[in-house]
Amino acid sequence: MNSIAPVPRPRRLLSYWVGNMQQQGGREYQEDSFCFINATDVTEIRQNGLLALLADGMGGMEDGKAVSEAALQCMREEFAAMDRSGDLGAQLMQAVRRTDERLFARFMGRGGTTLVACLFFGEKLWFACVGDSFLYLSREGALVRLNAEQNQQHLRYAEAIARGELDPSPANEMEDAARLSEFMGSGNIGEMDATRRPLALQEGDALILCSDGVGDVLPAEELGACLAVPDPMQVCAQIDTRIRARALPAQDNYTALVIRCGY
Amino acid sequence: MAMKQCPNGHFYDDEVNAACPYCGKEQSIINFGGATQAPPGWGGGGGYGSQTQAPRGWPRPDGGATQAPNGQDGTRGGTGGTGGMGGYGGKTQPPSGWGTNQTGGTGSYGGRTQPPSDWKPEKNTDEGKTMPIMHKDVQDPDVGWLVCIGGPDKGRTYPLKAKGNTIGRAGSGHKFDISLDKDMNISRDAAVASIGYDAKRNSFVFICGESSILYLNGEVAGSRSPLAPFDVIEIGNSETVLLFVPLCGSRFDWINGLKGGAVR
Repeated sequence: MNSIAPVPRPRRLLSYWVGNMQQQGGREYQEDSFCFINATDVTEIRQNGLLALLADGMGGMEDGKAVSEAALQCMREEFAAMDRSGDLGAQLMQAVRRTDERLFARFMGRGGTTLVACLFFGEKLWFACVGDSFLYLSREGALVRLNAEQNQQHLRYAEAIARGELDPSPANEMEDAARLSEFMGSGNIGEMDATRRPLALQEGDALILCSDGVGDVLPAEELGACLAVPDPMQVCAQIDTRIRARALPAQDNYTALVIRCGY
Repeated sequence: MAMKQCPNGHFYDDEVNAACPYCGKEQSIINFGGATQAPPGWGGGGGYGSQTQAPRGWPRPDGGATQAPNGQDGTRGGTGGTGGMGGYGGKTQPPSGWGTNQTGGTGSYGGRTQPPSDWKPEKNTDEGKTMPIMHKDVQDPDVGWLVCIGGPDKGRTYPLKAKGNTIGRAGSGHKFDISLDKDMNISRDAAVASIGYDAKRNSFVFICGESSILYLNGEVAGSRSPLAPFDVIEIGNSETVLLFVPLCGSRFDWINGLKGGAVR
């Protein structure tokens, strides 16, 4: 009696389609940095995951570009060393803290950067964010911001809420509201916006990582409208076009990374 | 039509740009360490069948030659001047020359790369730039001191401010908060260490740089060590011995004043 055991069909895994865009705007230097790791290698994505990184070097301090580049390099090393069978959320947070300390050891607090790190593994997303860069999720037509900024405004508003004052306008209108309360390179990150549990990704999800040069200029509705075209590179080009149309004289460096999930 | 990923993890259309438009010369080429090498060409993204197209508005090289991306290349002019920066958080005041190092203007483009024609950089402004919280209106009082009790700088006293205080030997282009000028055994290239004042916890932390081995009370110091009053710091093979004398601590800090007695 020879029975043929049913061969289990290999389950299709979500694949990722990525695009990126970076421009200098009206600044003297380009201080944003970004990178994708493993974005084109299906086997690597399955075994080790996909990492998308965005760092916005602080133009108001020394050598923002060197710091944002160094942050990416440290994060890549951390990513390569992660234990994929362990708790990736905790490891990602650890990686960010270690990167911060290494940046402080190297730049001695004279420069800093923001960081958005997105780790895609096994159809799930973990992220960790420091500073005021943006992470958006588009799902079923709605664009939702996943992270909070760590700046003066949020700090003051949190204090106001603790005092029982729920009106956000004093915090929004204060001088230096946009100054960062936490940044990579301070050597002592207190607050970080990160996932303890992963976000389960679905077909059709799209993620946008962008620096404040994009996020502060384009409202979420406009960013969402850019996602109408399928190709992430085209999405990025649309974002670029819309920012150029604004022609702001002091346009910040702007960088966007788009990741689409699908089969 | 082919999307290409450069070794630094950026995607670009190699029919529009001969080289990655996002990699400036100042960017270091990062070694992927073997395991995460990106394969050449696009197409690993699975069953996504759409044609990848060159995005509109992409910087096109004139005459087919490789063009440096918009000002990403070598625009590192005009950074001289304010060496004493280092402030973040706490009560740190930015140095008086703060913000004046942006006066390079068009000269700082070095004639090689130009910003987009429709944008002109604003001179002399930090408007909109990403900055940490700094408090301008307070004085910058000392929170402690380092006293040199051995070596060529013996007898000198160095104030510690409420920030990361770097220790090193000043050279061309480098300036440190605590500069051990006479000690020839200390590298001029980088800070050997830093002493940070943590205003939240009202404590001090000693952070080693990467250039020298440091000793704290005779033991090899870890990368970050808390500092206690009268801790002794020695630097590598030099003769310099520094004594840590805090002002802020359990008895006093600048926010709450003296414990157990009002400060007038």
